[in-house]
Amino acid sequence: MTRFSAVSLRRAPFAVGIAVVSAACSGGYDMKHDGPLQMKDAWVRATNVTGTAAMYLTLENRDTATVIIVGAETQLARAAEFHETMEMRGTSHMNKLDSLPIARGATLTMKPGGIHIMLIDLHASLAAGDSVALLVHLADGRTTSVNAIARDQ
Amino acid sequence: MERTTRQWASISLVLLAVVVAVGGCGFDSGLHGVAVEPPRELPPFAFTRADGSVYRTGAEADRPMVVFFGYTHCPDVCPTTLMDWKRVKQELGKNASRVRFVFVTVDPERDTRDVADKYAKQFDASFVGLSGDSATTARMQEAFGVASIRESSTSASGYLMSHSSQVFLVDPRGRLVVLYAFGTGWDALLADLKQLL
Repeated sequence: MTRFSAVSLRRAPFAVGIAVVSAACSGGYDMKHDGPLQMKDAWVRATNVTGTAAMYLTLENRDTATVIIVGAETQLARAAEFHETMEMRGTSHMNKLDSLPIARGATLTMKPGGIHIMLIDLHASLAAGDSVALLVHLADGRTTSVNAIARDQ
Repeated sequence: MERTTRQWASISLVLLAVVVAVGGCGFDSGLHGVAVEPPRELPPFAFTRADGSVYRTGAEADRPMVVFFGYTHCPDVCPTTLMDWKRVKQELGKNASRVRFVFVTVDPERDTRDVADKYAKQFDASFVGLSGDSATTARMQEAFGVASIRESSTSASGYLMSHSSQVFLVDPRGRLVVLYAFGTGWDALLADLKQLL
């Protein structure tokens, strides 16, 4: 079992609690920013088939130490994983990232062809303008969340 | 289709050699992608579609073809590419219907004929999504100078596929004439299609 999975399972009771709260909040997570990681400009590609989708966002570490992301989840998909696309000699390879360190003061801007969040087995299609809440788990136990807007792009 | 790392490396090197050999031709030809000189003759391939009809990739008069090899569990490169095609088609206006936009899955095990076609059509109803048997898919990729490989992963999506990230432009004579590396602006394909149409 990967560390990503272990963290997700360990936090299952917490996730259930969040789910109950969010059910009354239009299906999103209780927006929680108790960590040093700022997440913004989040978007997900709209899709009318329930397969996979990629989410992209900007992460800023304003802490005095490296922040390590160890997992993510969303109620709109069976799983959410950090992946990195790498291009080599005209070939695309995709690797799952079990942890994603963001150095002190660093900013990571995700974009197509690089690091992204893979949403696996969407429970519903995503139309442009739909909102997708994402909960991100950090190695120190804290969580933070963001709402991504579906775009037709 | 499973290939050994050595086979994969060999095919990649062949493709790289082709790209290097023709890399300087794009400027002279006025094309915006990487021109293939001389154009590569491609054999036709036949795919059975979800409705039982047969789609043939051979030459069609006045109808260039744009080809991409991907798979539907690919969340990043593949939808980015097909979204670029959607923009290209919109910009082509009345000539757009003459272009055949063809998505070929390299993961026929999970991408059935119906899944592949629905995936392509979510971007544009005219796009064609094809799923063939492994042998046909491999032969077609070989004709284009590329290959794909199935890679195990701890991802909840199951295995992942490494695959060509390039877009291929085939002229109405059925010849591969231009390659576009991932990240090439969609306007490059648009400009080259306008030359062909």
